[in-house]
Amino acid sequence: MTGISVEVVERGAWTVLTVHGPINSYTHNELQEKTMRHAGRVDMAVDLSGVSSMTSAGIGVLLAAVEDAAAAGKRFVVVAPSEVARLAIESTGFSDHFPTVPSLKELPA
Amino acid sequence: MGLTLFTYLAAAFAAVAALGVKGRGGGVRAFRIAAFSGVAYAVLLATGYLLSEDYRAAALVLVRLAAAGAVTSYLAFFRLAVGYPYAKRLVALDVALAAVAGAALWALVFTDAYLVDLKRFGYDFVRFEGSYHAALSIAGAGIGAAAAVTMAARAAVVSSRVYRQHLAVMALGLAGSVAWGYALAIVAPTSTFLMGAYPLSAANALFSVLAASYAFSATRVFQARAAVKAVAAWAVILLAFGLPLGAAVGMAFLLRGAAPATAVLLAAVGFAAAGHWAESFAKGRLGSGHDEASREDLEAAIAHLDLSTGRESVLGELSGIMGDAFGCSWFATLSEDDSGGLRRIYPEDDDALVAAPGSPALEALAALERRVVFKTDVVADEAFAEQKPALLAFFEALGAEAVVLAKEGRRVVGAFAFGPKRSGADYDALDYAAFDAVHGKLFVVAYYARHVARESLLETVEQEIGLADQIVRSIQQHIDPIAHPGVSVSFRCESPRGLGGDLFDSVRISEHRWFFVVGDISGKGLNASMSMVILKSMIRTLLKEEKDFVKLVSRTNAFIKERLPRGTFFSGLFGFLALDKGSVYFINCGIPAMFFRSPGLDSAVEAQGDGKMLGFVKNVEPFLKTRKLALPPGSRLLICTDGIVEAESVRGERYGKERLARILGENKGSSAAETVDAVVKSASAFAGGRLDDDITVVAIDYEGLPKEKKR
Repeated sequence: MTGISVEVVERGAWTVLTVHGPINSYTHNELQEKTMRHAGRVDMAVDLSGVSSMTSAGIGVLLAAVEDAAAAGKRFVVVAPSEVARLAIESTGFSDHFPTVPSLKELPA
Repeated sequence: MGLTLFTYLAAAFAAVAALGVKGRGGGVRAFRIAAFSGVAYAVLLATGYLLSEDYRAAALVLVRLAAAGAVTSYLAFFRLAVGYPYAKRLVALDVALAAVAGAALWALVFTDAYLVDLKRFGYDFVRFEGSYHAALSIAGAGIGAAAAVTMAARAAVVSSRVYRQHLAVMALGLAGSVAWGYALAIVAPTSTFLMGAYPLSAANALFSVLAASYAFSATRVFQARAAVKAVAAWAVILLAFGLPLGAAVGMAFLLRGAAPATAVLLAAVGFAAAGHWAESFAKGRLGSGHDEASREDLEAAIAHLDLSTGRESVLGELSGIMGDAFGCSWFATLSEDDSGGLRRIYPEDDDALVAAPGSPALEALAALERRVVFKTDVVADEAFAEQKPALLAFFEALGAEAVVLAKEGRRVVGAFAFGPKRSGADYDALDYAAFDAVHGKLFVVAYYARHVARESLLETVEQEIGLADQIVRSIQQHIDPIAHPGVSVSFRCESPRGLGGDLFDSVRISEHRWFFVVGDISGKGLNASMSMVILKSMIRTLLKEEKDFVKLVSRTNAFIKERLPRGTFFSGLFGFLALDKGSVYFINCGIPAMFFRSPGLDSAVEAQGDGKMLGFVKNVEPFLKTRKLALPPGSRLLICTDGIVEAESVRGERYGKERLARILGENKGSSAAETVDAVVKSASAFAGGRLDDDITVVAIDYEGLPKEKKR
């Protein structure tokens, strides 16, 4: 699978972006466009359970979203990151920058 | 007693302000004499007042000395008024003023002409005035008033606007001092109602000293709007917090609920804590948020310049943006030409060499630590004393009022010059903050202007990618190659689209020592390239300033966090090769792979350890660890960015570190360059011939120092 799909749904107070596929320099634009549209405007959750690989391009998108949310006083969480997504986040040395919940059911109210 | 305390505090505050003036130029000596005589006046008078209940003789001497201090202070202010801002020697005036000071000292201290005796009964203060008390008092105040009037008159005629403001502020401060001192020291003791305020009279030094301290430290004019805003912010602090706190502490003191020291301590702690809150409240309500928003808009406008439209068009658009943002009457772009001189390239019809290579102007610009310079800074700031003539000539030749420099270390790559404002106002502190905020973006445009040739050439290259590629290649090639008999270094830095954010740079520190940095700035394409260009230049500039390795990396982190676009981060490695010691010192900032292979080991081992990427937190210093790796002769380091490690096969497999280690093992006998090629070929073949990401591979082979060079 070389493409990426990003689905956006409302779930209670949260706007949930569900990502499937690899996040790399070719595919990150779609994710970036959708996170930029919502980050800092709503409480945003990004479900990374379907991510098959993630390079620094993906981390950059998440970091910008985290910073936009913090600047606007909105919430941002990563949901159920796949093993590769988790490793990519851990490689930054700042995993605690990306609050994570194990599943969509665990999203705070 | 409380009023005396206030006078002591005013004296301390004035002394701190005076000590903070660091200048060496014209008038500083007169200022120091004036300031410390004023401080002495306050301390002597307050102490004399306290002692006048039980120690009349001592009190009399102190109050007489205080009066001499006040006169000396006014005389010194008069000298300042005549000479400021120039350092001209006026021997006759100095001798005359010293004679007057000596005469005043004699008359005030050693005769009964001014004061015969004094006595305090609780709050009742009785002063037995000498026959010439009124005349001497009026003469003393007259000297202060004459100094204030001289300052005001000179403020009206001096040509430099910044000095005009300095003189006006000093005149106001001094006039306030004289009026306050005269009212409370001369008039108050004769009035039953105001008699108690006498010890406050000597607090007047605060106004004149603060005003003059401002003049000696401010190098930019202020606009009425900004001044009103600052005063309003302080008024909020004073009214909302200072007065109630002062009243509460005063009541506690009067009701014997607190000792003087406790009262002062409580007031200081309370004021510091709540003053901070009040200041941020005032700033939030009074509009600096608006200035920040404007700066962000300006930054965004420059970032969105379409570089594919060609140099003339880009600079034309930038000129429009700057004209709107700063109200400048004209805008010019200077760029380093092939000879190393600075040439005006925009407006294009005005192509002229502004600073020849090796010229005093260019040398002065190269020596500057600042990147934003106002003409008023050059005129008034002591820090520019050495370069002042050359810089003033540069500003005059351009007719500019402000210059923003794009520098790589000492080298001036380009400069942006701003003409006088259309409104006639000067560039002020708000403009400075805005220039400083957009410097990173302007730097990119300067680099673009330097490296992208004229319109005619553009027709022959591809648009966006071609342009950016020129910049990236030009910058990538601009390194100090690590050329040393004891080491062989090879690197490849490539991007699938011809432009990217990967970076390798090396800088020679000394004969056997080299700094290097390898890594990946996040983002892709043009944006990543821009960030990489800025970062590389910034690291080179910081290298000049910062000798501490950890602090260098920490400052780089702060730059990424604060200056580069939101979401930008850097994963890589900073290193120092100490070839004379056979060691490499490094800080891992999230490099995914650094393999080390010693001739004594069969396999390569990972050596990078844990690391924190840059750009995530404001202060990364606590997270940084410097590591040392001993390099035996025949050892090899192989460093790769994530473009290699994360390369994916068509089946979605990662290239990973194991393959990397294997390639390293298979190339034991190969050179550094052959090993780098082998890694790139292997990763590329693994990914089906198409690497998705920017890649950088660096190999460092250490051979040991040649025997004759060993110590």
